[in-house]
Order: sequence, then structure tokens, then C-alpha cells
Amino acid sequence: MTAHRRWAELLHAVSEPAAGVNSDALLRQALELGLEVAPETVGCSVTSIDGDEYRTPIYANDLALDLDRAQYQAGDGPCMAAAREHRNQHFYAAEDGERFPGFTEAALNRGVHSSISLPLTGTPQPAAINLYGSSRTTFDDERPQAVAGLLARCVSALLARPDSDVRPADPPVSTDEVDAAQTRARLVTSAEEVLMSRHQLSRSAALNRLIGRSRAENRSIFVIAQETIEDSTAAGVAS
Amino acid sequence: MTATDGISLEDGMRLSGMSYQELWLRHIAVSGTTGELELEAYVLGLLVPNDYQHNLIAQAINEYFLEQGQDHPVAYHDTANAE
Repeated sequence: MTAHRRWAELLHAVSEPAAGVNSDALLRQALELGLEVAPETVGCSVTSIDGDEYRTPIYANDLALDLDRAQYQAGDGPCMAAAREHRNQHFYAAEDGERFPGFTEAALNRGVHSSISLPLTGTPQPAAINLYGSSRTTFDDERPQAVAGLLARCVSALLARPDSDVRPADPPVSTDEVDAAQTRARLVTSAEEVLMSRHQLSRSAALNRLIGRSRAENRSIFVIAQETIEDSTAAGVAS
Repeated sequence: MTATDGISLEDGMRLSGMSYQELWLRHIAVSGTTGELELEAYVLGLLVPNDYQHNLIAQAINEYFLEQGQDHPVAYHDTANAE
């Protein structure tokens, strides 16, 4: 199965939770996608805190489990810190040896030179997703960090299920902001419908008409949509 | 599928400095209905949008650049019938 297909399945399951879905299988699939966050990603796991105990409830491969356990045995590590402090942790073996001496040695012995750990949100216990890299720069670019962030939100949602009242925190988008966006959407949709009716276009083609004018005139699509509706109204009055 | 000249959705997002929540609101405003996580996956290339979805997202990002006095840097797909 392609990565696109696996991401599509994961996002569908997260956005439209359904009864009977195997959350464990989806979590495994999510962590396997974690191994593709960047070319040199060599491990992916989840650390959670259960009382005073740190544990790894799910992992993509043995290397990740070994490195998680090395942290628990050493008493600290970036994944534990991410779960405990609810903050992103970017670990560099070459520079963080004093902060996490036991873990750093274990990481270097296994050819791991960096990691990122992102806290999970809305899970029953404090938790973090961990990604291990075989080079110092595995996670330095913006893209792997963005993909890891998306993966963290998917895993958060899956771990909050099933039948749990705990849900990932709603995004801090206000109702007013959504209402304002929906008002503008009605303007664009109305303009599309004018064009669909007038020129026998599909919705996609009608959108392209609006976009085409926006580009040609370098003006906002909302202005173009408003004018399209006004022109239609004027034409209706004239006839 | 043909594409206009311009940068990718991902590069557009990076250049804009917008958050994905802001993009999601802008995407709703241009009549998009995609959820926030899926939208992010489209931008990052983890999912492949159809032309309609792509153009909605491109317009949402380009609206940001229009407000900054720039001219539609993000590329569209198959808008030839509109010009």
C-alpha cells in the first residue's frame, strides 16, 4: 500500500471515527508512517506516563523500543521529558550528552544521532510520540517537523478512542472566525452557482472562472464573487 | 493535469508563515470543506488533492499573498478554461 493510501486511511479514521475500527492496527500504521517522516528516520514509538511509570505502549520497531527503555532505565531522556513537560524535544547526541548521559550513550551505540519527541494532546495519560534519526540533521528541516506534528495529532486522536470522553483539544479557532469564514464561503458559492447557471458549468469550472479573474485582475476572489453576483442581479433587473 | 507557473502549496505555506489554522479558515472562506488535518496533509503532499481541491487550497494561500500586495505565487491546476 502506498504512503498516500496509508495516510488517507489514517486521516479518514481520525476525522470520521467509526465503531468497529481496529484502533491498535491504526496506531501501528501511524507509527510505521512515522518511519517515513524523513529519509534517515530509524525508529518511532509512543512514551506514556502511567502513575510514576514510563512505558512504551506501542512502537514501530525494536530499535525504538530499546531506546525508549534505555531512557527509562537511565531515569531521563528526551521522550520522557516531552511527555512529562508537554513540550517538544529535539535531541542531538553530540550536544546533549550532559543532559541525558545514559540515553545518549545508548543512542550512539545504536547509531542514533538525533530524535524529536512531540507531546500528545488529549490522551488519557501524558504521552509523547518519538522519532529517532540516524544522522544529526534528520529532523532539522521544517518538513519532517511539520509531518511529525500532523502525525502526533493523528496519534493523539487515536489514543483518545474508543469510547473515551477525552478528546484532543479543539483548535483555538473562535466561533466568530468560523462564522466569518462561512459568510465569505456563501458569497463564493453563490457566485459559483451564478456562473454554473449562466454558462452551464460544473462547480469546478465555475471556481476556475472566479480564480481566472482573480489572477488576471490581481484581485481577491471575494471581490470577484461579489461583482459576479451583482452583475447577475443587475442583468436580472434589466431583463 | 496541467499546472500554472508558480510555487507548490507547501512552499506557499512556508513562505506565508501562516499557521494551518489560519489556512483552514481561509480555505473555508473560499468554500472549501476539507478538515484541518486533511488540509495539512494535502499541503505537505501526504495526500493528493484533485484539481478542484488543489485550486481551493491554492486560492486560500494566494488570498494571503494578495493581502500582502503580491500576485498569486502559488500554482493552480487546470484553470485554462477560466482564461
